[in-house]
Amino acid sequence: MTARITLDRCKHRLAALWFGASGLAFMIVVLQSVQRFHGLLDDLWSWFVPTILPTLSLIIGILVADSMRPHGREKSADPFTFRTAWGVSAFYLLALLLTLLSQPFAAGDPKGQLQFLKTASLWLLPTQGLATAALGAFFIKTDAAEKNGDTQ
Amino acid sequence: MSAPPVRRSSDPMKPITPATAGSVLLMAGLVCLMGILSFRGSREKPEQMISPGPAPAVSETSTETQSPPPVPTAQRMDQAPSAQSSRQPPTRSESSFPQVPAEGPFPVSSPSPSKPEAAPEETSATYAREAARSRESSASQAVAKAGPMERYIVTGSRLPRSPASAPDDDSVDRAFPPRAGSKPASPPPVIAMERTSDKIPEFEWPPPPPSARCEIPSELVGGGISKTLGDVDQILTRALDAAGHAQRSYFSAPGGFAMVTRLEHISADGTPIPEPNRWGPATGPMTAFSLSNYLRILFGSGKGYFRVIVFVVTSASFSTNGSPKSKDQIVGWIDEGLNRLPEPLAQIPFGPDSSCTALVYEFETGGGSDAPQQRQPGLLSGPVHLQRSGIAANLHP
Repeated sequence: MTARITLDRCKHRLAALWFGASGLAFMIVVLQSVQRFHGLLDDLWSWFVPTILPTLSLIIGILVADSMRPHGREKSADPFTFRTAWGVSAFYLLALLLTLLSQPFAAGDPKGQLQFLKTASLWLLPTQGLATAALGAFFIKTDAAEKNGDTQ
Repeated sequence: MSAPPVRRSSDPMKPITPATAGSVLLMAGLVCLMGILSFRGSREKPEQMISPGPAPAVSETSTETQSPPPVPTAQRMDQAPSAQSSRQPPTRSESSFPQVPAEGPFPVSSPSPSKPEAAPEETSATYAREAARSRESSASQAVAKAGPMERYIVTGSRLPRSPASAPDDDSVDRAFPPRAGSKPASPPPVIAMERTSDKIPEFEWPPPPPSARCEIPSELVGGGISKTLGDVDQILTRALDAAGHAQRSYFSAPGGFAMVTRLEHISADGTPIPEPNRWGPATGPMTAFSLSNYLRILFGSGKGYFRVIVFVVTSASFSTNGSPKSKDQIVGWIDEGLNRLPEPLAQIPFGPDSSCTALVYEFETGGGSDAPQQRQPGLLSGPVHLQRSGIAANLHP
């Protein structure tokens, strides 16, 4: 038998993880945009936005959909699926933050740093894909569990 | 029907154990570390591939026609490819290591592209005769004085050839064709050129407008003590060596000489960037961690400041309203000049009307823009540049 945990708490923890780490990364990029990447803003932001926006949109969509549903009894979620989604998400966001913070060790000039960020997509994009897949699996599974619970 | 039991271990408040979080952090750090190492490795490859280039097919051993050595790799790093391609020294060979061919002590040289009609055999014989005459006349050349030399420099004309090698010596003309409109050297005086490359490069005159300039007080360069320009050169060289400028180039200038320093990467306040990024085109990655340096590279403006200092030691008054030069052209001066002050120039007296002027050419590269711009007027004044560079503190006779 599969043990289940509170679904709303799981969603909130995932949202907190993503919004917290993304907000931190966003602040770093904004601070770099002020002076450092003055002539390379297009390149910088066209690199950064796809790294967080799709997943944040997914999470926001889920939260909005939940808020529009009528409140029922407290539902539970599969802990393994949640832990997998949380772990892969944390891994991806940590890799993203470390990539941003390790720019000075990769290159000293803005162009070199931007080139490093683009190179970092080699390991960030697959990890992001895994994180998104884990999140999707979590929400799909909980959605199926909700339907089963409703029918019971 | 009852709800499924909830296990204690599945408490949503503790979904991730510290060990798991640590593992995730460690793995993410390892991934980033590997990425950084691979990125830095990929950026270093193109620099390692820069080499002086293939040796030319033709080399010469003539003592009168020494070729400038190839530009060192470390020296080329701070120059754009366009600058490299636009600066072709007017020599017949680019090899710094004379090669003795198997057929004899004097090399067989192919004719210059400017005179393709000359037969290789004739050219070889001409070079052989020329080298033999050069050795025979070296003693008479050594007794030459600097008086005529000074006259030539003041008038701005190109240096004359030795009369000993003047007859049937068209090789020099092939390598160094006279300028259009220049007067023929008559009568050709005897000049002590001591194996020089026949011509001392001339500095742009009047000099291009600098970002800042500074008249160095005469007493700092040995006014009253220095008798010749060679003495002044020694004072300048000692100060530059103490300030870390080990590379410089010499040009002839009307009434004296000009010494050009290598492009130097400086901070906004004029102090040099620490090695090894002092002579590079941009700030390299961090090698030793310091919080201020880390924050500067992560969030700083990304602007780079560079300077080239030209010391003009001359008895002539001059303005700095020459035609402006690009950064690549100014950076290229270091390769165009001679590695030391030629003896004829060093023997010119340093009189009371002589002066030493420092011209500072300051450049700024901003953010992500590629085109460095000369700051005019400069960020700092000339004396401040000399002070912050450490040169002024070491200027003393």
